[in-house]
Amino acid sequence: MKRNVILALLAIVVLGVAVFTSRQPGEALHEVTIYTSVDQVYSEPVLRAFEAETGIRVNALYDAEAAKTVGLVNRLIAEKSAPLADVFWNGEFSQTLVLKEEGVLAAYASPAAEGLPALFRDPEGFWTAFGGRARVLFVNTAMLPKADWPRSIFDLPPRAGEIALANPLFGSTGTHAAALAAALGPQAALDVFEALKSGGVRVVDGNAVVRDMVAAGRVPMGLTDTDDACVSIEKGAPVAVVFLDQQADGLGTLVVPNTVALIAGGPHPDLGRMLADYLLSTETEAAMIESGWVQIPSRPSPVEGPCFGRLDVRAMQVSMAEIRAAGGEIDAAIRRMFQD
Amino acid sequence: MTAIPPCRWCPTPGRVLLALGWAVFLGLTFGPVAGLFAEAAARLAAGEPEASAALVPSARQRALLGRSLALAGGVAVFAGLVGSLAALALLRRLAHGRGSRLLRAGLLAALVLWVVTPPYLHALAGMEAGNWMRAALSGLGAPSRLLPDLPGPVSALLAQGFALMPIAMVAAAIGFLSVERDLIDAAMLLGPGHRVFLRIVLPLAAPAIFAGSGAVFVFSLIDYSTPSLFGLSSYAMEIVAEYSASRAPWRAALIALPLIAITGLVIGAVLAMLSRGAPAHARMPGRALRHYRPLDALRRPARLALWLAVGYGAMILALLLGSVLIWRLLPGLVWEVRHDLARTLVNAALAAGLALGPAALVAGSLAARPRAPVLRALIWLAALFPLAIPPSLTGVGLAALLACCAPDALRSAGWLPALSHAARFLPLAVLVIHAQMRRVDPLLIDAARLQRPPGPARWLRIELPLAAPGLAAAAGLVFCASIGELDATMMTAAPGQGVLSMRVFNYLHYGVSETVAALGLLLAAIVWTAAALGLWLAGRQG
Repeated sequence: MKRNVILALLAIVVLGVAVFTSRQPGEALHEVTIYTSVDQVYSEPVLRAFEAETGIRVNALYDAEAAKTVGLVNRLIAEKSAPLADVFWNGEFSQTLVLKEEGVLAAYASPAAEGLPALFRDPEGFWTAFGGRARVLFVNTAMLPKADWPRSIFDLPPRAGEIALANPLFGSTGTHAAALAAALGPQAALDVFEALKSGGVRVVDGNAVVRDMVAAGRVPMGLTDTDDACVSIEKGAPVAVVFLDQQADGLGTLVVPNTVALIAGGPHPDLGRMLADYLLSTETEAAMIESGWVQIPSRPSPVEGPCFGRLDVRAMQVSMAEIRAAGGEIDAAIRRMFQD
Repeated sequence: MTAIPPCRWCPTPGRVLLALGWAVFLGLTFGPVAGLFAEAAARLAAGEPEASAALVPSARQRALLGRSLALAGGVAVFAGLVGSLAALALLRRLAHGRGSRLLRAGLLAALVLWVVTPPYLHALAGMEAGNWMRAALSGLGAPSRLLPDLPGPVSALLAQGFALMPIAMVAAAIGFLSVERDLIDAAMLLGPGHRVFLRIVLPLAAPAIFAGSGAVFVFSLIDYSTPSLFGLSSYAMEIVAEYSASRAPWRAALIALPLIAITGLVIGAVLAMLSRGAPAHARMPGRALRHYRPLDALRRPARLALWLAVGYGAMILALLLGSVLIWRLLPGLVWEVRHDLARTLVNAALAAGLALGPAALVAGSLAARPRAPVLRALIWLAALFPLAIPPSLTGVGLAALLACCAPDALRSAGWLPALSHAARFLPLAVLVIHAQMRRVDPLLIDAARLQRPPGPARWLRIELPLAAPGLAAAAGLVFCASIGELDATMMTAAPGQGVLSMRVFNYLHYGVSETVAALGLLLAAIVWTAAALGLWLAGRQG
């Protein structure tokens, strides 16, 4: 009996190893490796579709370190001398710019980038951006009538006590602060955050927490991203989003696009280029709009997203490089303001 | 002729093997973080201001540490209190003969299955329960605000508290069982039951209760996955965040120091409390139960705690097994994630295999002849201190080691997480094997040893069969724990080599869906099957 159990266990392990090492019938031996910070639930279907279309196996490493961490970027920098990855697909842009500065990326002008706005292409070709999410004010409609909704970032400081905000040291709130610094100047941006802080803004642990607090009615409004807001909207919570500063001469709303880049010295450069082209194609962008990852298309698109339909948003007119540079200027002050 | 005294330090095969076991144990558990601390120490010695600054937590980090300590303390108090009361009620029922052998086996199985279920699956069940109750309320026409979302800290406390409660429950049961019946009978002549319970039983059982709660505190403090699912930052997460933000693994080690110091102190305190040792009769549950003398104290809260625990266990089962949609999704999902599933099983089996040898040797050295108390305490501390290292730091250490020094073939290997799992769970394997070794009657071993001289045959015929149940239990524990492990896996998984726990955690960030519930069920089913198989084998061994 005992021997049978041991044999059964061995059989399970052997079966596991067999499945572990198996490939699909007809699957090509070509493979390409991608590191992506785009959530697995959104990025995996796209990569599977690429596999199905091309027969090229995609080894993906997803950034699974919860919020606000940049584990994949660290890994790419650490592996710079002997990279495993061919492509980096980032859900935002600032860390891609860090990789460019660190010399991790290779220049590549993808033909699929045709039609993208000039701000979405690195002048030196080290990265290309496409479709993104927007930074929005998320309001609880049961607590706040439409007439009371703020319309500009400058309307927020006097009402700081009613607002929740993710920690500006990390993630898209940090990028938002940097974008404001690029658009308004470092001191004006710092003044906004200083006024929010001294006015009693609730600093919480992430955009998802802001979303949940607003949806649950624990705070009337908060700053978050459209993909987070979409989760509550789909659940039927009494919430709405406000795209700030949309008037004709307004500042515009921060749009955080995806970025795609090739890794210098990656083991499969040709296949990496093929995958980058696929990710930057209009078809992939349409798929990402339909899945709910992208809310703001970077090119005219016939498809509509599940939460906001077809959006026409006035975006902030600052380049990603300017945002990155401005972020460096205010980083220490923001750190002092919110860390110590 | 004068007899030559035996050489105390000569390298015999046994000693070499033991040294090898300890070397592998220390290498696996401390190795990944040793490099980080070495670099940090070198920078501190060189007087680098950045290193000195990292040594002092910022205001935000201090606040975060305070919050994490409060959460872990709350979890320990909740699990310790409810677990101890539930244990009291359970023991009372069993002692009054209201529990057949089958029921007792069932209870043990339920506790084992409960404790091997990963904490984030408890979080999933909690979230799903909230959704069900809200749907039920809205079906009845009641407004959903009648059941508002619980604040993140409360949700995390409940999820971790319930997930870790069996540890506190078992520890409290051992504590109550270890109180000598004669002592209670004598005390009963002098006062009523509840006073005897409060004055005699509780103080005598307190070390075990504190040990259980201490273990819960440590496991809660070093876990970042459950708080993160409820949107709560934790100090354990800060270690990874610091590594990410600074790109300096040594800074993560310095940031982790306060956490390691606190968990290390708690482990030391638990060891000190347990150093008195349980009476021999408490080592055999069946015999201990026959000696157990129930008292009429805290009857109502104990019964309430027991029903709370039973109700929670039933809820988990109902939520994971009760949805028709989940069962419909499952076959297709299993095929879709078959590669993740296979890697999960292979990694768990490898981790169990890797941990077994060193764990057995270290456990053997702990059970060996008595040493000086200080040396003995040091050896115990060395064996258990790895539990104080946050898994996130082990992951950072391994990631840094691989990035710096490993060849491509190793860095892209699918079995890398097995290394981090073995590093994390080796001390638990040591504890299990050591517990089994203590149950073996030393007279039995001595008698059997007389039949055979030292050597492979004696080891194979006598020592291995006696240790086999402990080895099997340890391998099973590492296997089950490895299947759900997340914190270190995330840092070590190679591209294209994901495992199920990562997928479940990634999906959970978008809340509960049928897909994630089905994946959770799949993960739980593997763990439960492995644990049930182990229990069945243990039952056959008596």
